[in-house]
Amino acid sequence: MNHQQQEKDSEANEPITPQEAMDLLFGEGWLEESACIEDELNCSIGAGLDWGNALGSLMLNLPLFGRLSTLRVSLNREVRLIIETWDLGIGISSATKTARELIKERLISPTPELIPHLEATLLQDDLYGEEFISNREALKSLLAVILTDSDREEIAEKVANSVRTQVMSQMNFSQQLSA
Amino acid sequence: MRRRIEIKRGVDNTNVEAYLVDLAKNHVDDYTNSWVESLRLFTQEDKYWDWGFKLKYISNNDNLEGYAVEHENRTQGLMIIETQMHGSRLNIGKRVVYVDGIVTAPTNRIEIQRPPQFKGVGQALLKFARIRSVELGYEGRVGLHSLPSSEGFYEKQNMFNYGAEVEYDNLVYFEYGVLRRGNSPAGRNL
Repeated sequence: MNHQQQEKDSEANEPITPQEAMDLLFGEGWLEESACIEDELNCSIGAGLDWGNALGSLMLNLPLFGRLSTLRVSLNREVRLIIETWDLGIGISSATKTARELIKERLISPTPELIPHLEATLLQDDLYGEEFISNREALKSLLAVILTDSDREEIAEKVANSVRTQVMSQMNFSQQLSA
Repeated sequence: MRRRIEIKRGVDNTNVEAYLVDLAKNHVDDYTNSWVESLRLFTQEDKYWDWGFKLKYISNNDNLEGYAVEHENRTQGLMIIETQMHGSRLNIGKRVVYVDGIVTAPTNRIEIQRPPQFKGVGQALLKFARIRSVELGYEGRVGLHSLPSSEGFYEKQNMFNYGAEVEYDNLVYFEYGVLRRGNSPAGRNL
């Protein structure tokens, strides 16, 4: 490898500088290319997790709101991991979806009994430093309070419906085959 | 922060001057007074996002930053990024700038107005997120969860599609990798 090539390779491996990034991303042609992409597509650019239209009392506690998003995705992950161990087969998807909806509902509009538990979790500084909370015990404890008996009934019902739908569709298929 | 950029006027494709600025109250006022009604009328997925609330909470969290694109003092796009807590899916152990929320004005959305009033607004914000990533030492890595109607847009940006993530209500996760000198003028990975 000659000296010129070595210099070129080493330059390529060096991190790009902000000014170079600016020149590259907003350099000649960027807007034409961007406009072409937008002309080709019939869609917007929206991104981000939605909280619905009802901001609850906890969400109005501004310093805690950022943590509430972290808590929500962490609880979603924990409940998925738990449900995956239940051997629900075709019902896993509806179980996790229902649980996720219930978690969101509880975080937006917590019951008076739930509020102190949520606040205690939200105030634990050591839980919040990454995208997901890694302390699974803390999440499990909170899930045990968030999801009530009636929530568990609802999840079970959705799972039962999924299994029922699957069985019925399979039976129709069998009938079609024998016809 | 105030950076001059250009965006394209939709009706005649001419370039016009615009500015990338820090998110401020006047942007939230535009959102509330000029955007919300259209977003609800056209049942946009972000119709309930409360940017007034977002502005308040970013000022309480040093890991969050808000930006807007302005043209002639009117807000054309909004974005919030998270800069300290999100990790790369593409390169485990590396940080990304995470786009917590990004939208354009209703008049810049082709599904609401054809041609849109301005083009390039959302992409300007997204490119700026990459620049912030470079400034923070994250080498241009940017991640986000796309709204269902926007997945095509992020596919077109050549962002890596990681599929739907249950934790994020099944929104699809997209990520830009390292920004290299060999990328195309529009910053797409070659």
